[in-house]
Amino acid sequence: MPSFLFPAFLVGAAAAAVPVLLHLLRNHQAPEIRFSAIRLLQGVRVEQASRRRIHDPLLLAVRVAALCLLAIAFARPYIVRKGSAMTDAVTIVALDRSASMGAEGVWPRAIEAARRAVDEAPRGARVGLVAFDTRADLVVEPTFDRVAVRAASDRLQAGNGATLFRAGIARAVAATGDRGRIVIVSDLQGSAADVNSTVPEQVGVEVRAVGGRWSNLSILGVRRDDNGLIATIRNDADRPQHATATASVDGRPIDRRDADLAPGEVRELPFRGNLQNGSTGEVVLSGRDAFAADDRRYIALDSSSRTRVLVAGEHGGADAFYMIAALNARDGPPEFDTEATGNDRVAERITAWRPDVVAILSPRGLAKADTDAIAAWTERGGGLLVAVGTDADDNVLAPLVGGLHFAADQKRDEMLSLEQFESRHPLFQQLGTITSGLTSARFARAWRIDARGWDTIARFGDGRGAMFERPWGRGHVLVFASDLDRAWNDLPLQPSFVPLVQGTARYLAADRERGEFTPETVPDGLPNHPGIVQLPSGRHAAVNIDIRESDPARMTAAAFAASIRRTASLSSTDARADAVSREAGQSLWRYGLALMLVALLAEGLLASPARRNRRRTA
Amino acid sequence: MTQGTTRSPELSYLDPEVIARLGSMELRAKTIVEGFLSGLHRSPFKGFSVEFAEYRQYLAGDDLATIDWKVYARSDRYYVKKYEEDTNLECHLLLDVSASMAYASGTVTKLQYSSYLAAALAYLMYRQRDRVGLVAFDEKIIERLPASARTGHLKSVLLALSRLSAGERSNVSKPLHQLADALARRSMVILISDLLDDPAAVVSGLKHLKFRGTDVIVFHVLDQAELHFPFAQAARFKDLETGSELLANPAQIREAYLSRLAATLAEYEQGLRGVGIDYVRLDTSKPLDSALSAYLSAREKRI
Repeated sequence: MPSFLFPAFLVGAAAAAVPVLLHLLRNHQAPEIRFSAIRLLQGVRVEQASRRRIHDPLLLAVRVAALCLLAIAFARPYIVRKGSAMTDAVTIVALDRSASMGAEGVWPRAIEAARRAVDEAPRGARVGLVAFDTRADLVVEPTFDRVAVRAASDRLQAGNGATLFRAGIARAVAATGDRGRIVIVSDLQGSAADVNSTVPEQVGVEVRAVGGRWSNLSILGVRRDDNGLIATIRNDADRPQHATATASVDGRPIDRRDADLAPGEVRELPFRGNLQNGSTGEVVLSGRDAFAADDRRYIALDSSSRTRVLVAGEHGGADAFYMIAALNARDGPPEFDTEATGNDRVAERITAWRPDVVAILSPRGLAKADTDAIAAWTERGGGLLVAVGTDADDNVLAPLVGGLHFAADQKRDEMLSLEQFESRHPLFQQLGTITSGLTSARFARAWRIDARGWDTIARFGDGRGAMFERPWGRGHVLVFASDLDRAWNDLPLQPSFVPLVQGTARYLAADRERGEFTPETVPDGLPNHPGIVQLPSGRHAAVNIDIRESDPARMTAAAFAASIRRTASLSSTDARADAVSREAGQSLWRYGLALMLVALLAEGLLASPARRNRRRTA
Repeated sequence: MTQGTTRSPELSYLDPEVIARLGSMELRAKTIVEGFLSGLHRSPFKGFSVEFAEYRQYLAGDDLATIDWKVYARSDRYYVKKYEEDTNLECHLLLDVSASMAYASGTVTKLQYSSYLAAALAYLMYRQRDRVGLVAFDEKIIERLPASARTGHLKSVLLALSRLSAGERSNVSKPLHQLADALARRSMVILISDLLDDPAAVVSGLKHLKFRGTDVIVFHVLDQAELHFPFAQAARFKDLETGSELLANPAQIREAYLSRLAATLAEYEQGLRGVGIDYVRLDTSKPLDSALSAYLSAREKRI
């Protein structure tokens, strides 16, 4: 399909019709002169009224063609190849190989679906294979050898990685060359927000769901306390389940717990035992369920027992009242060591106290040296929470939240509330049903944050982002678009506030001192399967599957396909850049000018006096 | 008879546009003739009068008794008197009134110009006691007055001339052949026409007259625009007689038109003079004196 970068120039082509129209419409325009000696002109070669016609249509056509070609060349034409889902040239099968695909019966269905997708590709189309989890690999480049593609899919296995649909879809689309179709084979774990992908409209998308009934008990996490280990268990079945979990340290069982969990219930099971630093622990669920990979979880006991949280504000303790209280709200031994400090001392306390988590509740009093120190600490593996109310200053906070821009909220009549949460995020996975309690909080004000390059993990009811996250060196940063000290909202008064604060601190400190990895994040050279690894420093670390793979939520194929954004959602800037790139690659305007020159040469020959004389005497 | 070499103010009365402003055809005819003759009167031909039959220059062999010695005394030239009984000429004015004669690029159409000329000639003939008749024609004879010199006939001729209007298509040769068969006595035919017809047919008809012993004078009347084709703007040229249209750019066809006109005029001139027919080309923008002079010269040769 032809298109033009500057279609306005095509108006010039219409101008070529003007002289033709004027010539044909010249009838009855000349004045009448009554004359007596017309007989003397009989036989003279003049245009009779009844014989008005174009005398040299070939010459006229060449001249019109030259004008049209010039206008078309200026309009900068290019060809947009538009494929269809049914008549494409390339079919890419994108096979999900994440950990959840290893659930009982899922992988064989997936392989069968992939083989069928290969066989059902249109005749004459090349077929390729992409396998993805958090990383996407082009296993087989598009080829006419469908046997090879089937054989390659047979050799694949479900892995230990988490699911990142965006990676798989992007790789598959790239393999089509923006012209063809992709067939996604997956258990479609998660929600529409997890799809987060854009596909050009000329690439067809087909989704084949292979998930099964998910009746599962999962271990979401293991942590240490002064008395031993604590494991968080969840019942993902739609019926009550009995859980039997055994904790081991250094390979020796230390305790066993039984629990009956209601459908969807999350419970912490304590395991008593004498733990020594340098030990390694493991909690295992007995019995067989749908997904075995999350029935086991490891822990390295090289780290200290309690998470250190430093809360900084303009006024130190006064700003941190609610957050400190939430962190310390606990029955039994405290999980967190907390300290409040003024912003003018935060850099000093980071150096002296070596917290696991730092929370910034106000930017006032932060000097550049302080923000640089916090940023450096974060890069080394710290977990930073930024939850400023008033006085958010892009310039002050830039070293900490680079890429975010805070815009003041308009005066509003209606309160905001937290409405959307990324269900597969570990923070909300831990909170479980408590997450829904967060919607009760009312926000009189919240920042409008432009969060390019950040992941939005929660949104207010009006769609604006509420919580943002991004990695920062070896650490990562969480940003909350409101405050946590009851200035703009009543969140600290909600029952869900304490779990939220504790879960946030726990999440930000999860891999402190890199005591825990997922198979994707384990350092190169070390085994990337669940278990205990020894780091080069001699310390031990745990490798556990991403708990998002335990998410029981499944999308339908239709919901998954509908959540994929098509090319129409590209910004005009992207579409324009694409058009410019296509045109530059084709440069059809050169051919247009060349043809125009040919037409002008032909015009010169056709209009030559010699030819005209031959026509007169003919 | 020779004409004066200088044009006198009286000849302004011969200007067609001046003549056109006169009230009646009789007045026009009288003005033209008197103006023409007054101009002759200022010439060396003093005392010349047409109240007698006429004067003519003395030729060797003439009777010396006919010399008018009063004229000789005044002019030192010999002229003899001719009396009306010596002439007894029958003249027929053939006037083309076809549609093409209605053309005018100025204020005077060819038909008007021709009518003035015919009126002046009729007046002049009447003064010379010649019998004068009138035939008006287009593709057929429209009006016919037999030749006569009786009292009141001139008025009839002039009245008929004043009432003429342009008719239909041209057919010059047809009345010529009809007249050639009808003319019994020695006579003179004066054809006044634009001759926008088939030259061969026209010349054939005139030859028919000539060969029957009739003296013929042809006044070929053309408009200045017909002679020079001065048009500049592209136009639809519509024929006055046939109505056919020609869409043309004058610049592209002028050369061809003038070439064909010249060829046509040459054909007439050569064809007519070759058989002894006087051929005079007249431009309707020019005064009528040349026409009258030509008539008198032809008349003189006749006698």
